[in-house]
Amino acid sequence: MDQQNRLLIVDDELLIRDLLYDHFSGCDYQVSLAADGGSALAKSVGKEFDAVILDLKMPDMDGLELAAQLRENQTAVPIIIITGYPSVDSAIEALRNRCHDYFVKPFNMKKLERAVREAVAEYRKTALGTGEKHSD
Amino acid sequence: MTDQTSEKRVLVIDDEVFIRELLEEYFSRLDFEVVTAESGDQGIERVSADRFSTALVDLKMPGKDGIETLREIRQIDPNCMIIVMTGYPTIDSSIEALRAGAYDYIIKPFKLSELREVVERAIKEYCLKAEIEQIQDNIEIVEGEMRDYLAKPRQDRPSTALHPHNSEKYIQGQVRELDRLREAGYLSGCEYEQKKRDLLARR
Repeated sequence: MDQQNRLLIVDDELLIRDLLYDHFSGCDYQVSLAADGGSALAKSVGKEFDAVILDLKMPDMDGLELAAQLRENQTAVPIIIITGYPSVDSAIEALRNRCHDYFVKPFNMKKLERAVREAVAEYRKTALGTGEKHSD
Repeated sequence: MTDQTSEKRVLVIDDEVFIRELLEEYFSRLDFEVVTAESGDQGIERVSADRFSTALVDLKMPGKDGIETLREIRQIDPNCMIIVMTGYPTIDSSIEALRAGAYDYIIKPFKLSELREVVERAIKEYCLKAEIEQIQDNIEIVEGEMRDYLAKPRQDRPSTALHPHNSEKYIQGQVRELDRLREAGYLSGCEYEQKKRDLLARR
């Protein structure tokens, strides 16, 4: 339980990946990076994350589609959306897909960090979350 | 926890009398028990007094708005499925609804049949959640019994084969429950396999 929190960050913009990597590594997260949906799925094989930060608009796949595929492996993994192109439709879709949060770029790093922290804590507390954890 | 009657009990919170009457008439005809409230505060009172599977909440109301109402209802009854309705959709309010844990966000004007589908889905999820809670409570009880059992000196332990939670009938029942949860999409493939393995290992 006291192992490092594992965070997956998926964004096609290098700048955002770097920024988030530096920040969350500095906050003691074990960070995995992916630039698109395909490599995010590849990285998630046989691995579990405590939270995922996901860009909505990626070249190969829609962020919510990726979210659905990640949840095939890990039903309850908390997903936090970040997007430079917010819309009512995508926010409603995120809501319907039970995403934990939705941030509009440029976002406030402190608020994003708090959202990730809360998501991880909630995930670890739920029985399904611990069920997933116990399975390794 | 839920009970049989709360499943079909729907709360409508809207300041527009026309909407309240329309939804009350529509859902009553479908055999739902509909309770209405004309403000956020009145809706919160209703939730404190009674259990609802679903609440339909208008976003824009004088006094307490829909989001604030949603937050307070979730605090009183986290199981209640809340569907936000609005004629003025915005990015901000949809994000706020997401953060506050709304089940859905629908834009007025909507087709009543669409709303009905959303409500029926919400009720299904409400019932499933209740079942999951029940199963988890059972698992906790079994785990507690296991701990007590293992804490006893070996010669004082009753035979495990006779233990009700290790009986074939009980295990088969639990496996069926798992199948149902998996089918409904509440468990991923790995979770399902793991939980099934754990169960079968009790034999």
